Amino acid sequence: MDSRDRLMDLLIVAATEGLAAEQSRELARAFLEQTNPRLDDLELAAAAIHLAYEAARTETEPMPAALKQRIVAQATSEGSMD
Amino acid sequence: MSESEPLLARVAAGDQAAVKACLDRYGNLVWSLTRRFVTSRADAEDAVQEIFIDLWSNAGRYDSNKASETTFVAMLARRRLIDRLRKSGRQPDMEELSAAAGIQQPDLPADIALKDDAARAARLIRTLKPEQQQVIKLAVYMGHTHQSIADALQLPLGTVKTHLRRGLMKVREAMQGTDDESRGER
Repeated sequence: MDSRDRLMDLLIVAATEGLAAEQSRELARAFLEQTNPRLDDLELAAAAIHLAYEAARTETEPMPAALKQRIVAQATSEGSMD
Repeated sequence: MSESEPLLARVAAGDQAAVKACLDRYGNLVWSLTRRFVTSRADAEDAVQEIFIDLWSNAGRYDSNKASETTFVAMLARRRLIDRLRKSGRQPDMEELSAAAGIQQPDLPADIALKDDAARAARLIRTLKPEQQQVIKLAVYMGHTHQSIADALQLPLGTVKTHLRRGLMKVREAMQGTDDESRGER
C-alpha cells in the first residue's frame, strides 16, 4: 500500500470507527507528507450520510428539557464559548 | 428565527441568544445521534454535554463553503461519539447488526424529506450496489467496526474498506462541487 492509500485508509477509519493512539500518530505523520485529503472532508461526508439515514427514522425522542437547561446554564456561567 | 439563518458565527462571537437558538435547532438531532451510539441515558446526557462544549469551542471553524451547519454539528457529534465508543471497546447493538445483515435494500427517505448535504448523500448512496449501501449504513450510521461488518456479511475486510472508501469519497466529492444546486440552501 503506498503512502497516499495508507493515508486514505486512516482517514476512513477516523471517520467511521475511530483511531487508536498509534494510528493517530501515524495519521499526524502522514499529514506532514501529504497535503491533499483533509480529515474534516471525510468526516463531513460521513455526517451527511448519517443525516440521510437519520431522516428515515419514524420515532425520535426529543432532547430532555432539563439537559437543555443544564447546557445553557453551563455555557452562560462558564463562558465555554471563549 | 428562520431554519436557514446561520447561527454558528454568532455562537463563535459569544452571542448567548445564539447558544440557546443552537440548542433549540440542533438539540434533538444531537440527542438522537447520541442515543443511537450510547444506550445508557446517563451516559448519553454526559456525551451530549461534551458535544455542545465542543460545538461552542469549534463554532468558529465552521466553513459554509464545505457543508451546511447541520452537517457540521453532526460531524462534531459523530467525532465525539465514535471516540467514546472506541474507548469503551463497545459495539452498538449487535442484534441490529445481525438483522441488518439480511437486509438487501437499506432504507433511505425520499429526497423531499431531506435538506442539502443529506439529500445529496442519499442520492449518491442510492446509486451504489446494495452490498455497498449495506456496508456504508452499518459503518457510518450504525457505528460498527469494519471487522464486525466483514464478519456479519461474510465479506473480506478489504472489500468492506473499499466499499466505504468509494462511498465516502463519492459523497465528499459531491459536497465539494461548486455547481451544486443545493449550495443555495445554506
